[in-house]
Amino acid sequence: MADLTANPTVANPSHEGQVDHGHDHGHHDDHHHEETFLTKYIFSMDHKMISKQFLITGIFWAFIGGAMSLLFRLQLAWPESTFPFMETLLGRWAEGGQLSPDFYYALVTIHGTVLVFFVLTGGLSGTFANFLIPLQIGARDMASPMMNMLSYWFFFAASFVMFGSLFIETGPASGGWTAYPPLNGMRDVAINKGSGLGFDLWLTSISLFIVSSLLGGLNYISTVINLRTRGMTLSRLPLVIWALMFAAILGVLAFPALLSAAVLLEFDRLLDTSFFLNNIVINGELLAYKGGSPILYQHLFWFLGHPEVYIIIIPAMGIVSDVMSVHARKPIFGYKAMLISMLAIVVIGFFVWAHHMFVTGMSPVLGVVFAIFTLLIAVPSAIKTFNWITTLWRGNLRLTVPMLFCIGFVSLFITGGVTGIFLGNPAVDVQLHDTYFVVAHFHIIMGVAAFFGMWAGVYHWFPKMFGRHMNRTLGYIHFWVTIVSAYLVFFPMHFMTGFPRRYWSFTNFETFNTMGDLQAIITIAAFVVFSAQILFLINFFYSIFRGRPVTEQNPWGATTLEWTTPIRPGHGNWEGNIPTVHRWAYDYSTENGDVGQHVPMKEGEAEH
Amino acid sequence: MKDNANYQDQMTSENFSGDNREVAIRMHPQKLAMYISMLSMTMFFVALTSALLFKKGQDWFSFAPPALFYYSPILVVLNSFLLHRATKLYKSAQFKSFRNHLLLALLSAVGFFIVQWFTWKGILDMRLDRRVVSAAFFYVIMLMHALHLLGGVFALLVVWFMAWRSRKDELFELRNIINPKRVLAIEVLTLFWHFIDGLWIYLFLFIFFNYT
Amino acid sequence: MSAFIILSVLILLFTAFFFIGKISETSMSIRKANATEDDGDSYDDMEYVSNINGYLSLAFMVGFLFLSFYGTLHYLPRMIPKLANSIHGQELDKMFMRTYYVTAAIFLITHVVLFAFVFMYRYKSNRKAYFFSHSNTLEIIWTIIPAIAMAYLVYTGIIAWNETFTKDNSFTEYFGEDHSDKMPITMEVTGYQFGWKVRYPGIDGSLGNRVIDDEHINEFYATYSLPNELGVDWQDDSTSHDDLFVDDTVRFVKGHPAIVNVGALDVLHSFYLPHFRIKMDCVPGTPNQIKFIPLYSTEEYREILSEEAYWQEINEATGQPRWETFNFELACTELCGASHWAMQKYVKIYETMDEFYAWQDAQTPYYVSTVEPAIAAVDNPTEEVMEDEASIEMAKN
Repeated sequence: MADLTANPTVANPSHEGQVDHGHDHGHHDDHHHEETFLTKYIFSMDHKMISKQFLITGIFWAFIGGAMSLLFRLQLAWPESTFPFMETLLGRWAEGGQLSPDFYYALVTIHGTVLVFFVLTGGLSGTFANFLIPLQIGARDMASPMMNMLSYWFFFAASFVMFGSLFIETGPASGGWTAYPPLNGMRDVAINKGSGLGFDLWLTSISLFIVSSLLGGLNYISTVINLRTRGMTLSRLPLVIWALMFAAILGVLAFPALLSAAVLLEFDRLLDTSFFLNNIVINGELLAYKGGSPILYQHLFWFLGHPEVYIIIIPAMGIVSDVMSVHARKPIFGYKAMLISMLAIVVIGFFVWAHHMFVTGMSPVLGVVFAIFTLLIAVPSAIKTFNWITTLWRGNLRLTVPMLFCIGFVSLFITGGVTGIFLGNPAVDVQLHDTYFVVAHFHIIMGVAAFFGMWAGVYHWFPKMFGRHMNRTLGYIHFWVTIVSAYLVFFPMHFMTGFPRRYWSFTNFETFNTMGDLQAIITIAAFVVFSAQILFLINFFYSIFRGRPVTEQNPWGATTLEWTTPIRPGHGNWEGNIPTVHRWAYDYSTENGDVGQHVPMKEGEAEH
Repeated sequence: MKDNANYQDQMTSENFSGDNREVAIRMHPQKLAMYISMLSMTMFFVALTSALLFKKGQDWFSFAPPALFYYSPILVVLNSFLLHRATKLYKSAQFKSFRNHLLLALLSAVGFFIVQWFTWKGILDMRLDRRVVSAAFFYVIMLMHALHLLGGVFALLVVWFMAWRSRKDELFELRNIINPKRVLAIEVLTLFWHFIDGLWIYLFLFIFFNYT
Repeated sequence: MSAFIILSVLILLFTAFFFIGKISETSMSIRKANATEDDGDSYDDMEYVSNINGYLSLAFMVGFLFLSFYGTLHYLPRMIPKLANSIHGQELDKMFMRTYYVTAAIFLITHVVLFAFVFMYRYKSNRKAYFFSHSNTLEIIWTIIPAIAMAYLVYTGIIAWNETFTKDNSFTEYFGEDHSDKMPITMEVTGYQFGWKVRYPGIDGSLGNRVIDDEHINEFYATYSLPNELGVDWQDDSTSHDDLFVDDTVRFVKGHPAIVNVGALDVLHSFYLPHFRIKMDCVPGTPNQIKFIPLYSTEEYREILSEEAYWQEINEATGQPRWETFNFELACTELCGASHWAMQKYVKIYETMDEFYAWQDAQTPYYVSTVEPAIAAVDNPTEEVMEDEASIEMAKN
């Protein structure tokens, strides 16, 4: 053991005797009569259980969304083939085994929506903010456990409505996850099948999700500010907590803008106002809508939409910073620089939204302003990247599964980040806007990279969540298959620079019908990625019930407070007093070895 | 391990008794959450009003709202004042007067609703098309504010009901002075009302300068 | 069938993976049981595991970097031809390449360093990590370097962007040259579900006015049974009488300024000419404008392409080399409904203005061919029609 496990000072000695197995089971039996199944697993107010609920709902949606992408990838790779199983699966949406354009666009829309909102916002922030904030800052629970529970149940309701919308007559929303009017501004299924009831349900679902996010965000912020244990000053907070708090702040400030857009859009749809509609001519008839502006919607949408991508990626950054530091046995390089660059991203992130709208005919002057702010964001992002790389330098890297996901994250963050430099530059963006280059960019940086952050977190904190280990070998296979095939899916999309996205088929364009073989490679790779996730799913659920039990309190030898709780902490987290914090979270490989945050300073020892 | 029900209290007392914590900002988390949600609501209305300004930059139809509209700020100022007094009265244990002030505040809120309702009807009577964007913005802003106000009315009723239920039990009321729970509820309620009242002043001025 | 085979292979693969995982886990616990001191630590083979993954990381880096650059070269011939056919397009492409060189260097260096570190510092039981928490010098260096690179890119980019999108219609100082001696072709493209209405000004060089209101669209339609979606003022504005609507091909002239008014009827569309590096959203109710100057005629561009191997290959559909049937294309890049992917039109660039005029003269204006007869049929019905109606009336009685 000696080298690898925690230095004796890391684990909390006061609980050493209690954390054996027997105690664990005893604990469960004791409380059987107090907590029913309903209060323990369903309407739980324990932040740990709520976090698991978020995680499992997120995983559910990730699989739905992923499976959808496979269906439309089949269409893209073999536009002229038929797949009889599709007709069996989708019925009238794939008559003769070919995906209908209507349903193709519905799949694209729902895929985007659920992955951006339900998986990478709800599933990522919801899981880790709930799980880590109280455990790492030394609190017994969130500031308002009740609100926390409501946050999950609003999320659940949003999921329920969205899932329901998949089965209605006119099909789910199919006007893109950005839901631009006028395509989605009128309840006219003649314009677009998904603009009928499907889109009303979509809006309802998103509004419920916004409420969930706001309730969650309020809670996360007030918990971090108010419930830190003694000694846990802001400058001693682990980076992941900062990241989750920044994401919550972004959400609390940006989601209301989306809500206002949703309200105005629903007014247009149900009450025939014309906020976003003007001079619409359909079938030779001028409709009565007058004086609105579709561009206004885009401003409101992207005022959330852009901070939203930081809401997704910042928690992943935080998770990676901390997990990397643990497994590299080194402090994160440049804690303050990391913090300041995250703050810079948060602040600048509010002033870049119109770079999604460079070709809407906006004033060139405005374009210049947004271009400058956008490229400015590259600076803090570069600082973070270099700091992660320096964290690896002269470390003693335990290449565990979570560590590999962190390294994969950095690679993806670079690959996806540099393409952002193209897109943020309006002169270059003219050609690239709404093409596969954009698809490649955002899938790599906020899709796959954020997923890698999430997996790093899941693999790292799984022992704390469920008291069991995940299977390591399956984890390694999961990682290597995923990184190779995910790159195979999204990297070649850069070669399709200038090919419009959201095309059901390229066959009637000579210009865009040149890379059929590449489309096929991408689709095959997508199937491989998805299969690797099934492996993860098996590993995840198998390990919850049958995984190797955790036998020591601090299996990774980490310094943060969550590892001072019992192996299976109950509601309230610590059995005795909450530990006091004496130092920052990154005292790895110091002169005194690895030192936990709860260990008092030795005489003469200077705080980092 | 603590029992679930007690555990809440235990958590709160642990936080604020100071035995194990260093409270960075000496504010109850619920109050802090209120402040943050106020920020969030502000962003919502800022988004709405910026949308209005964006639209105004393109083309705009101005119209004067009905005269009744100009009385609405008086009511919200009155409401804020009453709730401010009510909080003070509660803290000085004048419970009957406190309850009356709550009722008066409720009355002023209802009055505000009535004013808003007739303003709304007045605009309808102008026979403006719903599709006139300036009129539609007027409706949306009023409706969204009214929805927030409705939440406030509900909370006010709850607090009043709690106070009214324990009206006979002076001792209980007295005990509640030192129990931070009731004071907190009243403070958070007052905070929220100050916010929506202030919000209306902002919206009123905004409409005043942009519509006339 | 193939789907079934793939499925069963995948299932087999999973089962295999799963058992590999199980076995490795079991063998680990056996090893541990045999070990003299059982400490419950699951990572006592960390050195072994880190070694494997260290080498895998190295292999991944080599493979990934190789494939990413090789793939780019391999697919380069099939990408949208890299020769932009417009003055501004060539500037935008220079900007693209500048960004490409900067980012490719960053991409390469950071990846090499990242995976080299992973390999070099993989776990060794006798190594102690170096406690290195911050260094102001380093952090300042890598704040300043990206800042300088970004400043350079944004500055050059903004210049190109401003030249391309200045809002006025003049071509007096267009990328440093004066093109104002040539009268620009001002035309109009309007997107609808699912196609483009392309209107040319005709012989007089000016587009007929559009009045978007009930009278010019709905009433006109109702009166003359002829849709007038654009709201062209056929009756009061005679400049509209020579306007041409084209069905299949949008036409411009080499070296000749063009101004395109883009708009939409129903939902958002986006006017995209990939070879010209032009993209502009079509917004219902809010007209946009874009100007450009094509550099090569369709024939010249075909000649240029004929030198590339990919374009010399025989196109199976036509039986000719690809370059011979090459055409510029117009596409939609804003999701606009179920047939968003099908809004295709060809674009033709004439060698000279004369060719363009020759084409123009050969066309019949829409007013003459369609509008005038429709109006005449209602306003001055011929005797024959009146007689017909009279006979119908009589038959009813």
